[in-house]
Amino acid sequence: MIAAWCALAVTTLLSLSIGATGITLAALPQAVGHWVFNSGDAEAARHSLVLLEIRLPRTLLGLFVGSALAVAGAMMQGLFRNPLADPGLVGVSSGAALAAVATIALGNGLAAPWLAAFGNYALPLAAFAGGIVTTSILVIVAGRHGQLMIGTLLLAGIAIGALAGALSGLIAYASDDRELRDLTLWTLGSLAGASWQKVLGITPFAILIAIAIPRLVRGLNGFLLGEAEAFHLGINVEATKRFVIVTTAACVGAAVAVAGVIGFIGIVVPHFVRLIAGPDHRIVLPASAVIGGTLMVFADILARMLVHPAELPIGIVMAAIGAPIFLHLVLKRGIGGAE
Amino acid sequence: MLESKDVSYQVKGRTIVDRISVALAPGRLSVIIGPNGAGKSTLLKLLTGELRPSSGHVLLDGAELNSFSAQALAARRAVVAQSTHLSFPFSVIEVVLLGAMVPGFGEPTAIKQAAAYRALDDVGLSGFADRLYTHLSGGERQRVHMARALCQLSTGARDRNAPPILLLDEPTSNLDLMHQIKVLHEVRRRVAQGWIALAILHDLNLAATFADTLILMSQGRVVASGAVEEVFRDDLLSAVYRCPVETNISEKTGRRFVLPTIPQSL
Repeated sequence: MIAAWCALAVTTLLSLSIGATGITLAALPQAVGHWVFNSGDAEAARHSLVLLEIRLPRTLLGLFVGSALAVAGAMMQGLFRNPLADPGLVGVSSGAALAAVATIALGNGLAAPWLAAFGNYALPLAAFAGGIVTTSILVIVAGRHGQLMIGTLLLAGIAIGALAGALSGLIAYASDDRELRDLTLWTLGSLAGASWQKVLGITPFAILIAIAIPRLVRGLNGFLLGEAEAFHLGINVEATKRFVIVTTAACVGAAVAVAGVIGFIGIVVPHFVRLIAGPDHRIVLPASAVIGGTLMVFADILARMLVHPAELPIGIVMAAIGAPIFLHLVLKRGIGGAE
Repeated sequence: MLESKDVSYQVKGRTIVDRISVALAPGRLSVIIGPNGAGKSTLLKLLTGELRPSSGHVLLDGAELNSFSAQALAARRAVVAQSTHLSFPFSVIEVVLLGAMVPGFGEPTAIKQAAAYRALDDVGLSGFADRLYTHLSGGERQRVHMARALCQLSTGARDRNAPPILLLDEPTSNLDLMHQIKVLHEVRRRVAQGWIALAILHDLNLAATFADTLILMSQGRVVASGAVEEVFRDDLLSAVYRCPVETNISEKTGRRFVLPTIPQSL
């Protein structure tokens, strides 16, 4: 855990430092100094501006999105009792993205009152609702016979994801809204549009998720034995299930609303944590949050550096890291997740 | 006292459990026997609260079972299911400690840790604490879940008038002879302290050895119940199991046992 926090700190500093305007690590304190004390020269002033208006919100968003997606993945794996569940893979992210895209596209029409009412929070809230709907459909479809069928879950998830993705594409294609013209945000994910406005929009979600997680760990641990066993152990099964679904949807919704669909982080990070620290959710959830944030910011650095001065959509970088690990998992454990 | 009164359970128009009344008293081990599909597991699930009866009542100390919260029930009774699937690589002691995690009882304390190790000892798994559950054999896994149930009840709140309740669905199905005896001996030891215990067993001789009360089920109904000598009758068992059997009494120990009569044509 200490190592994870250190990695987080180093990656954050690198993320603040690397970019079109290089700010050396040594220059960081000066830039901060300029911001706090208004000290230093013109270069410090310029650095300070870049840092505050571009790098800091982007890094904060990266940390949040990575943490939220990793935690959402860990929770879904607990809920479905299978280490292969991931919000990106089973369509939850696509459902959230569809809701977000629809909100923007209808911004001047049907969704106008919604946007007016919730301001910065309208988009994350819509994506959150999309996430809840998709997760609930999955639980209903895959849990019809009392037990969650992992095969049904994955196939239904793929179908729902494809459908939601196609609808998002259709809306974006038909829309002349400038926010939608850049389709890559929603299909491949990107942190490029980071702003303080977005950071503000997801802050309440981050707080709620942080409050929810400690209350979920026992239930999720019990769930790993099965729903009946969880009940025998004193867990209110239906309430816990709903709580997990809502929290997962909040994580995914908020993340998708600001960064689009980014896959694999929800599989790779919890898997890595379980390898090191075991499957106890008291450790898996917080550790996934820290390592997920680190990995996302790291991937974002790569996205900015690899084709400098342009940048890659972060989803491509994550897929390049995540897909091989996912394949390895499938080959090692079989699709049922059993040993 | 845990009892069912005229309990029935139907699913899709099929009656699985048909107006069954059983009473589980403190200090007694009741054993359900009967052929496959007799409704034994369903009756047990009705008694755990996992299933709600279609009609009739399940009562715990005179109050409807479903008036208790999951948490209150878990402090009082533990269940070992027929099969439990766990594909995440927990260590053995972590699985046992899941039994001590009843919500509201806080983090595993030193007392709970000690209880977990004692429970492992009781099922013959001392030294297995740090092994990975996923690497164990079927019989070892079954004993881990037995230890989890024992741990759950040894850490809950204790009240003289509310003895712990153990509900076991074929707890010995994967065990070798020695461990069958060991596990049921541990159950008996607790029954002697006033616990309530119910087990489904397929091995009639094991059932006869350990049960205070035998409950013979067939086609969703209780066909006979009582002491071993009341239930172990050639005609009754032969009819229920649709297989001719002879009951005997051991000359050495006076214990009753059953042998199937193998038809000549086989």
